[in-house]
Amino acid sequence: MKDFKNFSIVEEEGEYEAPKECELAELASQKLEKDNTEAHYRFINILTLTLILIFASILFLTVSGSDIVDNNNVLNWKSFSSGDYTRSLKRSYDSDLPFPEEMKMLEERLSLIYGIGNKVSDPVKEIDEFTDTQHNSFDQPDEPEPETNNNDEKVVTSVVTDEMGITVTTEAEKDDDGKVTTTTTAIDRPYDEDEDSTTSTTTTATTTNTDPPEFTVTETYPVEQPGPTTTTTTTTAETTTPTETEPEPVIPDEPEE
Amino acid sequence: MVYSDLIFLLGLFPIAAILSFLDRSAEYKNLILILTSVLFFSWGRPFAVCLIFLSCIFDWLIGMAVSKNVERRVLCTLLLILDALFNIALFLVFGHNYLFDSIKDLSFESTVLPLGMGYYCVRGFSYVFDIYKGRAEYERNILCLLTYMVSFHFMMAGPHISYSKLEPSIRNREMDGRKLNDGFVSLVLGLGKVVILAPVFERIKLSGLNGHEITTLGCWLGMMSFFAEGYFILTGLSDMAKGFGLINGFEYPSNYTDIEADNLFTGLVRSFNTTIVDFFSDVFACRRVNNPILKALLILLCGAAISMWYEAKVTFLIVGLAAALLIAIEKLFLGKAMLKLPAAVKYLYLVITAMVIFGGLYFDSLYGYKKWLLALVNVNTKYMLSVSVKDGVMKNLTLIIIAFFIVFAPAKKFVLGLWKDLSRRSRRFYGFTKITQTVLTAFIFVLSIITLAVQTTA
Repeated sequence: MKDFKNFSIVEEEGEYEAPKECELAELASQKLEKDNTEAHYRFINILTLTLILIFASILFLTVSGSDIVDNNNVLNWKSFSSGDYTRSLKRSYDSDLPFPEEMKMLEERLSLIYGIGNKVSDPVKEIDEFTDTQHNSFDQPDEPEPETNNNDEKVVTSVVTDEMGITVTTEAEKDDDGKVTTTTTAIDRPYDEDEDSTTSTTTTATTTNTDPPEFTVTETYPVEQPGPTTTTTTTTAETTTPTETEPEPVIPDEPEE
Repeated sequence: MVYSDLIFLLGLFPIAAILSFLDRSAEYKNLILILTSVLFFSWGRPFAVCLIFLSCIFDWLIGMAVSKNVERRVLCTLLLILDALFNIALFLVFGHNYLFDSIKDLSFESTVLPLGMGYYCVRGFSYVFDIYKGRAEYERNILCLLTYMVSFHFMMAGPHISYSKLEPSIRNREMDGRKLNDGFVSLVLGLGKVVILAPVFERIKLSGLNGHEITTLGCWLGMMSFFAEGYFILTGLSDMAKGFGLINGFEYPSNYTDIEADNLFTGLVRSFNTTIVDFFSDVFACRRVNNPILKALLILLCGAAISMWYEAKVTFLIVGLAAALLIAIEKLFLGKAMLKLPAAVKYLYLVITAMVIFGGLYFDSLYGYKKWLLALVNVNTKYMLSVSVKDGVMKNLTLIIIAFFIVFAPAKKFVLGLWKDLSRRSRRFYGFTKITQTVLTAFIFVLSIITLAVQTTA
């Protein structure tokens, strides 16, 4: 006798096959899931950027807002139409930005990842003192070149770097008559405003002639913290081989107490 | 006011965006956009500057007259020429006011001059040109035309988009999460290019070209930095414009394309300010003419017009003509001859031609240009590299590498391809890449704001 209590209409597994999932429905479901995931991360992105924008807007407005409408800047048609009102608003907004020192410090810290050799409060990061936005080296006519003496043996070049890190290049030139002309041709000093004085001395003397020079001048000038000056050689010594890279400025050691 | 003003970025723009979200109707959004734009242009300048916007009434009337006389082609052509002359006059007086320094009545103070007059006048003429060509009907609602003309979105660095393409969005536009997200991302990336990347190249440019010591590598790196600075400013502003547009419901095309070696010098020229180059090519019918000689002539005229649009200087004109001449030569025979060369050779060709031709833009005299060209091949230079240029490069090495991956199309495609593959690997990886993108974008945004704040207080 059959046990009706345990009766199952499915006598064998797989006898009644469940209908297969429609492929299109599966694709639609996958697309929906993908769209939902994209929308989810899009929402996170929008939320993050909007929060930053709103936070920065409120922060900058509340800190700058205290002085943004000062007594002298009254809104009326005349001040608005002349542009004075909006100009004054901008000026007061820009001059009262929040935490200027901290911002500067933070920006300097962040700029450490910009490259190699960045330092906090690094003056070189600013537009280099050697450059001038208005100056275009190429459109300026060359300084008049002095007549070069092709007789290289008669040119003596002396390069001296003094305690201040100032490099003085002196050239003694003997003309055909045997008369010696001395020219201090360049002063090149690495600029570092943190340095007050230096103690180390580096001296390099280069002679390019084969005969001993008749007259050599070596001078050291105490220069009181000049700005960086570009080396300009007024006399060309033909036998001097140009270096591949401009020499690094000699950085003087820390002053000894 | 400019896009990188903090008071705009953290003041006017958020307020305008919030206000425009308050109502879904396009009319309301257009009104907010017009008011914001008027404030944007009059900020710090006399309000009367905005009277320039009334000039769009002239374009509107001419457009109407052209539309009503479609059958009478001669009259339509005369009207088109009249509109062109009007916009050129407007552009010269307000956009190139420096030409009138000696004429007291026409010379203005620099603060009076409005921004983006070049793009404004091109838009005005383009509207009438579209009607003349039968691509658009004249606009009955002048407020719609005013929205197109004065919108601050594309006033600073384009893109230029014809009225016929923008008109549907002006009448009816929808906002959704995708547009908002893409708009924000585009805005932040553009801001990063303008605030973080462009100044790096400005520093190297100044060290290399404006330093008192001329060095060989300084000349190369300085000029490349000059190009990179211009590129990042334009593409950054263009990205920002695209972002503002998307946040407001508009979809603008990019105003730049990737620099591809296969497209040679022609592609290089078109990669910068693409929409303007396309517009001038369309006006001068450069692509519709089949006769090679006539085509070359039209390309030369187009080159001269674009260069004068940038700056009314002899150097710009010469550079424009030289660039157009090379494009014409490429179209005639050089392009086909170079087609099978390796990509590396084509890139080398691009670098050399760009340096030699566009390098002229930096100099006021032939003397300076010649001196720079000689310095490139180590003539009359004492040193290879100056300390200031080396410092400029080393201290910004990370940013320069990032800039390289942005500009150099194969490298950019390679990195983006890897990134896409990674995101497709699994759902987890997809989430990882998306969150990383969000973190990076947020970092760029914060860094840009901090940098701007420091630059403003400095």
